[in-house]
Amino acid sequence: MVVMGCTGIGAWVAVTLADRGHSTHILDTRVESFDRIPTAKIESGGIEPVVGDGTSQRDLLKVSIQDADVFMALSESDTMNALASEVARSVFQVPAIVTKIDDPDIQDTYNELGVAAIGATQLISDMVLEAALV
Amino acid sequence: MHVVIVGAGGTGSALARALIEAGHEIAVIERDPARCRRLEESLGSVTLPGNGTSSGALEEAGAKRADLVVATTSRDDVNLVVCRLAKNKFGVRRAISLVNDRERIELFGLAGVDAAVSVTDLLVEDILRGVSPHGFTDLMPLPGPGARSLARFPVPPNSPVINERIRDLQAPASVAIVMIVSQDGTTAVPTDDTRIRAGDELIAVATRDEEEILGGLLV
Repeated sequence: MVVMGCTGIGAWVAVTLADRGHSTHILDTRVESFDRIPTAKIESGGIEPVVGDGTSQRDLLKVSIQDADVFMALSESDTMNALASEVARSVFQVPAIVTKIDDPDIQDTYNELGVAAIGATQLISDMVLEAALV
Repeated sequence: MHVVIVGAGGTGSALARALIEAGHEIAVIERDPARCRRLEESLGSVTLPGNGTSSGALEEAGAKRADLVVATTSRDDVNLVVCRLAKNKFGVRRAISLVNDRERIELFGLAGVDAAVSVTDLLVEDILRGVSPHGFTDLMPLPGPGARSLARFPVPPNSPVINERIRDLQAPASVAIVMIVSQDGTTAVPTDDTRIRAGDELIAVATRDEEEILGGLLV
């Protein structure tokens, strides 16, 4: 499993994946972002944090992207996540890609391309509408 | 032609100006209001303050009826998403993008971008042209076996071949000199008897090695 972006969501996903026994690499450009991961998870080897840019082929090779089953782009930037997903898909042929894209139009475009794009705007507004219109 | 340009930096602004001069209709999407103002001072109301990755801004810029979208920002992630939206959401026929990191040229091609232009590559090519002892320039690679290119060879003012005929040039037999551009800009298809004049440029089809030989003969 490769996660790009040690954001609140990225760190949470990585910890959960590691708890379920998946070997998990997490990439972030800023080393301080890894403070979001409990030290024990890193020391036990469950999560391997790597400083790097998930849109760079060279940095993706540092986390053995060529062997990844799933790539998850969870940084704060829609466009960085989109670019990273395209690299994972076109260059490294990662079988499954999940990407966080909050702008609903960009999200739609990537869903149509066969990338599982998940967006906060759409998710939360759906939930709000559901709660408001019962 | 209606062209939507995203980004009004150096490249975007120069492109906007050139397209207007060529009689095209343009809309430039730019986030920075100061850059918008600067462009409007010389080109009139062609800018649209906003984010090029927003469908709203693209729609307002006329993406639906655009013949071409050009992404010129300094961020490859933004440029790629602009091209994706243009082609996949708005059905624009052609999308061209600047690629800032040359490692990504291939990726942009795979993503369906019609032309990915690397500024670094263009600069390097230009500098190498200045470095080359013979000053010849590859214009374009030609299809087919043999790795031949169309190339341009300026004849230097003190060239030993001035006033020589094409047939007397000791160029490899497989080199084809297909055109001569004179100093005044007139073009002619040379025969064996055409004489080379000072200030001419020879346009030739040759392999890389042959280019070196032909270039060497002219200096």
